[in-house]
Amino acid sequence: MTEKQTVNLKINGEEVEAPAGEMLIKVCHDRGLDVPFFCYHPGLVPEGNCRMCLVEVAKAPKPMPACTTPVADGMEIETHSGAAKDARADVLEFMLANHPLDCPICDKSGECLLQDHSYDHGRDGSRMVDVKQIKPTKDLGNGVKLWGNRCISCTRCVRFCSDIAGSGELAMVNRGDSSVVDVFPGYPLQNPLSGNVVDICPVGALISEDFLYQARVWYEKKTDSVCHECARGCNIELQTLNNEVKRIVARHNDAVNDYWICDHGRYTYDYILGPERSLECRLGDSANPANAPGFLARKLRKSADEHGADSLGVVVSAFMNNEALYLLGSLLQELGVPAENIGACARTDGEEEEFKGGFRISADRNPNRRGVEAILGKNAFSSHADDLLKKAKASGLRCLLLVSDMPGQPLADEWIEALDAVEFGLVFLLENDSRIPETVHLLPATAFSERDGSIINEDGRVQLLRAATQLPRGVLSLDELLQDALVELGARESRLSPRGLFDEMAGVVPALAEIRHGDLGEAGLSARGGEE
Amino acid sequence: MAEIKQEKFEKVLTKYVDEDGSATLEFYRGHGGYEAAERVLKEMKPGEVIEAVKESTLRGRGGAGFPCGVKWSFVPKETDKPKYLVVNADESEPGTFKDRVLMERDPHQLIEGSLISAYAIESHVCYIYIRGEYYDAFLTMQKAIDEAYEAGILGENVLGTGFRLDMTMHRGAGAYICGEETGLLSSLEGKRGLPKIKPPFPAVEGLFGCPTVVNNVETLSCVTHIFDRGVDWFKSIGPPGGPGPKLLCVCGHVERPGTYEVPMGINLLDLVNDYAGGVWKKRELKAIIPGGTSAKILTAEECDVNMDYESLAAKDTMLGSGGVIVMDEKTDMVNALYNILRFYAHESCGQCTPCREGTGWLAKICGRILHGTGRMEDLDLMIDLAQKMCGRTICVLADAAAFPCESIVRKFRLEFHEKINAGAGHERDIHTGGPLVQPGALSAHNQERLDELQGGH
Repeated sequence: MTEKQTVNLKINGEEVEAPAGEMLIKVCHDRGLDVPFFCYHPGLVPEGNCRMCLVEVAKAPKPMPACTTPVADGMEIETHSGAAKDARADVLEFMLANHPLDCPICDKSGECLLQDHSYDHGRDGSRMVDVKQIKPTKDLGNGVKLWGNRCISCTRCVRFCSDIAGSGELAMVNRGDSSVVDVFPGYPLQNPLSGNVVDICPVGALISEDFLYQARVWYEKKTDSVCHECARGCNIELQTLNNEVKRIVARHNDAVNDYWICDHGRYTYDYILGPERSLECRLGDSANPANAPGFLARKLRKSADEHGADSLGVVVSAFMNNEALYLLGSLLQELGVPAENIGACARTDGEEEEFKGGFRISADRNPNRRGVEAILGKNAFSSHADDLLKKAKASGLRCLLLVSDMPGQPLADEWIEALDAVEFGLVFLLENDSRIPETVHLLPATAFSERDGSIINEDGRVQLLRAATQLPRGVLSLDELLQDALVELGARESRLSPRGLFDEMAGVVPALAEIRHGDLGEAGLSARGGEE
Repeated sequence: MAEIKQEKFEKVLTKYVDEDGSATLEFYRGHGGYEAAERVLKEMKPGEVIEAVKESTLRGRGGAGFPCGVKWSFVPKETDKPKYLVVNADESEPGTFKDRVLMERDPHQLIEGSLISAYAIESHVCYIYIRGEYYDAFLTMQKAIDEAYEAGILGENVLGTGFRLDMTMHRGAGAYICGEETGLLSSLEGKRGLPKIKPPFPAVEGLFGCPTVVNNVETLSCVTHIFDRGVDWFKSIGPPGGPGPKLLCVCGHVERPGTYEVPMGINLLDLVNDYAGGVWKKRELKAIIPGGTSAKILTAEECDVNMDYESLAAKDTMLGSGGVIVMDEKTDMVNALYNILRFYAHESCGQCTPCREGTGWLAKICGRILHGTGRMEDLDLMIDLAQKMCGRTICVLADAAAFPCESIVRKFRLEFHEKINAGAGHERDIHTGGPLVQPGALSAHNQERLDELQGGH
């Protein structure tokens, strides 16, 4: 018996072909139809309990939930008939019967499905004059707070914890209109993916303590970026207000992270504007960042001319974006510095974690190790770095450039000693480090939220970062600074846009060949030699 | 007291329940027990058994009245998965207590019926999911199962035929929703008793994802007699749309409440007057709920109706579980409805929005009317909410709450008017006309729940 691959049905009078077994809601959404939902989530097993996605199915005695009704040959669906619209408006009325309607003080306001659906599909007014049910407000653990009164019992969070995280801390407790999500006493929410339950809560029942009362979501600027906490390169959205990252949420990418991110990635952003962030410019006599490109170009040229190009050394990090690596490479090439003089350092490995739903946290805590290897060669981390250190110890280095932009991981002591030994030392510094000698020059390193560029994850996927926050006025990002230095050296005519820079780099770096900035889109592409 | 006219009909299911020792294997075998099963296992093929049950037009006795043989025929023949037979003994519909009699007084009748049914669907594992409160029935059933194992009626080689059947009892923990077949299966799997979306139907994907037939205790007990006395005998009792002997539980304001075995299609008034001794204390009849509280109510004028699936459907109500609740002239219908609605609000599993919120809302409104702060518009609101709960949920608990609500409010509207008018003097919220609620105060409904909890009953 051969299975039929597609079925033909009618949606709102239109003939539609859909893959057999597909749920109605997916087919409707793919066609741009507004079938509202609460409990349905494309990344979770459907449960069909909220009843918000009811549609009219010809010959069915009652409206059917689109999220759990598979398409069938000859089916006739009406998504916006009077009966379907009424059924959904009725569900909303029930949904709001015990809802506290505390939108003005609710953190979810502005991105709440219940709010949106009430505007789009609900009736105005309320017929509920009775006292509403009271449910608990409490901490569930891992920085997740529960406002039970707002809970609509959709069980998205419960299904996430049991099916994706695999730890199953959350459950529905009580019955009827006392139903509410909760944890078992003594067993708080403690899985490393728990922040996702806040993302997927359609209402304000689960709230992140970290973001609580920090910003109204409609004032925030939302920027697509890629997480830097491990080599997975999970897609994220940076939400910023007044040039400050307020929170990080997951962005959907089937090829990388589905709909999820881990809590390390979600909550690690305080350093960007933290008390340890270094924004100091120390350029000899000058503290003016505008002088940086000229200063850098002059000093490097001078050192190369006086002591030979081989006396220059550079240490990059596995946090830098491809463009900065590429520009630094071209700068040294311009000065005739041999490729072996560029070493790279990486963050210490963590523990690999894999979850029931297939989500993985990599042991490699470096977002762009693959990028460094693709642009500077496989040996950058091993022999190059070691040789460079030996050379510095043997006083063979006169000029040393270090990029120290890995949050929570200061420079190794050996490099501090090496800085002490050279004539000209310059550190692109992310976080203050008192060990760095006074004589060493400093420029601010760019934090990941300030970067426009690309990185390559451990599977070889090239993905774009977009700048969500700005450096202080006058301070250049590393990409801009290096381009301007190249202009000073006469190697380049002007600064390029991130797009122009990527396309130029892709023409040179074999791993990026045939990839164009414009094709990367939101989801990125596999680099040549990638493992995907 | 009216004269009892029972001798016309020969009782079958409850024939021996009043005799001493009726629950023992020795007694059962002494009265021809397990002969039908032995004949079926030795002489019939499973498909023939299903056809015979289809031919008998036996309909499920649990409440929905689905044709039993048809249900069995949905079980896939070609499958690598094990098949399960689950006996629904979670009798929990208010006003129903028929399965209890069968299990406490004639457990082998159920075991024999289950044996035949398991053979028909080629299942080798049978679970009996029994209501947790039925402790005596549980002990009796377990003892009977143990006896049956010892006598070779259950186990590796049933009655020497080589057929294998294991039977296990599982006690529920007191949730009404676990009487709903998919809720029962969730509970049996060790999960919260939440009903599941159909399709897939249990016959295709039920217990542990395997083909499963769930049948009521009385249904399976009937199966025993269909094969003992023949399909024609079974069809000769009652109307063709759903024949057979039927247990009806009469409770409420009657002289002799109890479980009565009657031919399907008996007149409701005859049942109440002849069997149950009529309305108690020489009072007038006011209303009867014919099939458990989930069924729509019948006013005294509507009670001249035959107790079978089709006649009751024609009166826009149902035979349901056969729980006949009789109410006399002094019954406070508002209070009666409030009692019913509180039950459903308490038992809603809380999955589906219309049921979760609707059952509680209806109970609150009804409680408010009862306690004197009702508004006239509440009556239409209750009917409207009830209608909007119907057919919008995974299982039919919402419908089960909506049916009595809508029918009682419609048919006894004047009583609600009286309650509302009597409470006109109560202080009210000036905006909503509803009860005046002090900050932090509990509604009458919540207060009552709290009192119940604190009172410990």
